[in-house]
Amino acid sequence: MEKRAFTYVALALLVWAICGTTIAGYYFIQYGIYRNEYRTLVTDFNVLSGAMGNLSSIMESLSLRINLLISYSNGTLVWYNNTALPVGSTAFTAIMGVANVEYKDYGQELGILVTSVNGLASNSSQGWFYWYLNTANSTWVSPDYSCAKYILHRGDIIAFAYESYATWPPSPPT
Amino acid sequence: MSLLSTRQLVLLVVLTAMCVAIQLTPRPPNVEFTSLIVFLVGAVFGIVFGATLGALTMLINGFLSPWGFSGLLLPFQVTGMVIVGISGGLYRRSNAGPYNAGSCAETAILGAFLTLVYDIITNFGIAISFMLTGTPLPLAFVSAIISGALFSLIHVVSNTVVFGTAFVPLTNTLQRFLGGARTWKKEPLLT
Repeated sequence: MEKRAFTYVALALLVWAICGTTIAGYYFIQYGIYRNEYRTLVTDFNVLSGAMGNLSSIMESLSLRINLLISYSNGTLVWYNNTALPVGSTAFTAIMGVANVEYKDYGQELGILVTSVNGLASNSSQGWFYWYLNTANSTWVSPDYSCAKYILHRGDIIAFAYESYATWPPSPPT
Repeated sequence: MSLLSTRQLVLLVVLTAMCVAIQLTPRPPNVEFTSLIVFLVGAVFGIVFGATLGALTMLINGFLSPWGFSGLLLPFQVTGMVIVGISGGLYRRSNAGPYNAGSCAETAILGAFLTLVYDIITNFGIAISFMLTGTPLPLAFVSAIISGALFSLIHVVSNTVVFGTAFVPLTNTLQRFLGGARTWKKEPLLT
C-alpha cells in the first residue's frame, strides 16, 4: 500500500516538475521576446526623437517669430509675443493670424488697409495704423505704405493702433 | 476472446460513438473528455478495446476534426490515445475495484500523467514537422514543448479534474449496469 501511494506521489511530482519546467521555459522565452521588443521600441523612439529634433530645426528655419501689439483706443494693450509665422509673412498676415480683421483693398499704390480689428472699426475720426519698432534707436516707425507690403523679419516688433486722425502724424502706440 | 453479450456490445458501441461525437464537438481548446472515456473503456472492457477505441477515435478525429486534417500529427495522436487506453486496462489490473475516494486521487494523478505523456508525444510530432523545415530535432522538440506549454497546462489541469471527479462514479455505474459486484475482477470483462 505504501509502495502504491509512493508511486502515485512520485507520478504527481513528476507531472508537476515537467509542467513547472515547461511553463518556466515558456515565460523565460516570453521575457526574452518582450525585452527585445522593448529595446527595439526604445531604439525606434530615440531615432524618432532625433528625426523630430531635425524636423523642429527645419521648421524653425522656415518660420519666424515676432511680437505683435494691438492698441485699442481705450488704452487697452494686448501683446501677442512669440507669434510664429512663415518666412515672407507681412504685417497684414500677422494681424490676420491673431485677430478678427476686416480690410479694404484699394489696389494700386495704396493697397490693403485694415478697417476693423476684433469688432473695433474705423470711422470718420479714428482708424487703424500700424507701426514697427526700430530696435536701433527704440523708436516706433509708421511706414507710409500698406501693412500688406511690410515684409516681417525675425524678431520684429510691430503694433496696430487705433488712433485719431486729428493729430498728424499719429502718436506712437506706447 | 469471449463473445460479447448484447448489453456489452451496445454499451461499447454507444461509448465509441459518444467518444467520437465529443471529440468532434466544438469545445474550449485542450479541454476534452476523450481521454477519460478511452481510459474508462480500457478499465472496463480491457486493454485491447481501450487501445482500439483510442486509435479509432483519434483516426476519425484526424480526418473529420473542425481544425482540419491532422496530417503528420495523426500517428502521434493515435499513439498517445492508444497509450491512454492501455493504461486504463493496466489500472484495472492493479486495482480491480470497487473504487473509492482514494481511487479518485489515483485517477486524477493518472489523468495528469497520461495527458502529459500524450502532449509530449504529440509535441514530438510537431517537432518532426519543424525538423522538416531544417530545424535540428532537439531544438525543434524543445521549441514545440515550450511554445505549447500553456495549452499543455490547461490540458493537464482539466484532465486532472475530469479524471479525478468522473472516472470513479462512471466506472461504478457502468459496473452496476453490466452485472453488479460479480464483474469486479482483476480481469476485465472482455479478454
